[in-house]
Amino acid sequence: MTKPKVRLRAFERNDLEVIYKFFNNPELVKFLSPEAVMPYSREEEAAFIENSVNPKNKEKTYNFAIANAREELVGGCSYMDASMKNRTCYIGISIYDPRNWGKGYGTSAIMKLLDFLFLEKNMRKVLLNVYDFNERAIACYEKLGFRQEGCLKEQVYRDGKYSDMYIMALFADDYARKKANK
Amino acid sequence: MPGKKQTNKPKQEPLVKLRAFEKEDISKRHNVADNPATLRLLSSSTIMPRSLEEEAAIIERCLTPKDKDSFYTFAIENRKGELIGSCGYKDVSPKNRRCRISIAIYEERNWGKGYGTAALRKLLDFLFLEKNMHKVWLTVFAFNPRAMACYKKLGFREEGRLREHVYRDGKYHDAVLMGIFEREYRAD
Repeated sequence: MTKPKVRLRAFERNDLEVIYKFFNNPELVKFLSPEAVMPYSREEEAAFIENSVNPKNKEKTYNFAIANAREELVGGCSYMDASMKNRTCYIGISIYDPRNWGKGYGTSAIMKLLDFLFLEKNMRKVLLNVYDFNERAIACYEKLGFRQEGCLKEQVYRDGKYSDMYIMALFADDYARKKANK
Repeated sequence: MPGKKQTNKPKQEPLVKLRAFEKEDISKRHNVADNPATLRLLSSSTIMPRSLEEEAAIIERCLTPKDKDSFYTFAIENRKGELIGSCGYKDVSPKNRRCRISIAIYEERNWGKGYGTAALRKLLDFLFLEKNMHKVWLTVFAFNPRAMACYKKLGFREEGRLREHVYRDGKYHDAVLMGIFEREYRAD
């Protein structure tokens, strides 16, 4: 499969409607947060946009909007808890519309994000959390070279049962080697 | 004037004009300045996208400059009146009569057309002939040979190197310090 082209850009205020629509889709949100899956008002979404449009501490955390080749907003990805001393950070990603899943947008966007974090921001290790029932995401992360480092047993209650949360991580060296071999 | 040859050639309009930034420049600049190919040459801090509102905050600081004596950013306009870049001075030391300068031509399609050189000539004219600076200096990344060639052409000389000063594209690069004196500029 050829990777679709994506661009990481800043969020803008007029992205609100797209965000509002997709963050009210439980099929998406159930992968993203351990909190109860509940509707979001436009006001609540506006707070997210406000933080993204006027970010407080870009060194530590930032939300990128993911645009496809037609410049449509297809998702978002971010880094959090960047520690400059330890050169680590966490990442997160979502492709909003389930119809866009499986097209490679996520992989393309994460590769852009990793290039940024390793080659520009000088991170050494990138971590992420993923629920065990998010098999699609786990497969994508493994393909990129992420390895499971930990497992928090029965960390999230969802769909009537307790599920594990994995902590996965990727080192800059391993990612560079992986890219060189492609 | 008798004895002097009169040339009737129409005066060529200068290639660029330096002007103040205006409110209307916000969206124009956001469209072109948010370009990683340009940004990677300009700053050693992390290259990140900017929202329209962040861009507006930057321009707004230029619209009502706090201390024009110490730092200022000019907008660079071409003959068609398009905003193509910016240049400015900062870190003015009145006692030592020196300052640092910087310049950006936003879009790659405008590189290699002499815009940068023309704008820097205007800036140096201003700094040496009006603002009475003795020395102007700058830093340039070692992976920017185009800019270094331009500065050398204008008479700048390399004065030092900050070794492996900038992390970019997965490697450390030197930053080069260059400077020029008023007398060198006038002699040119």
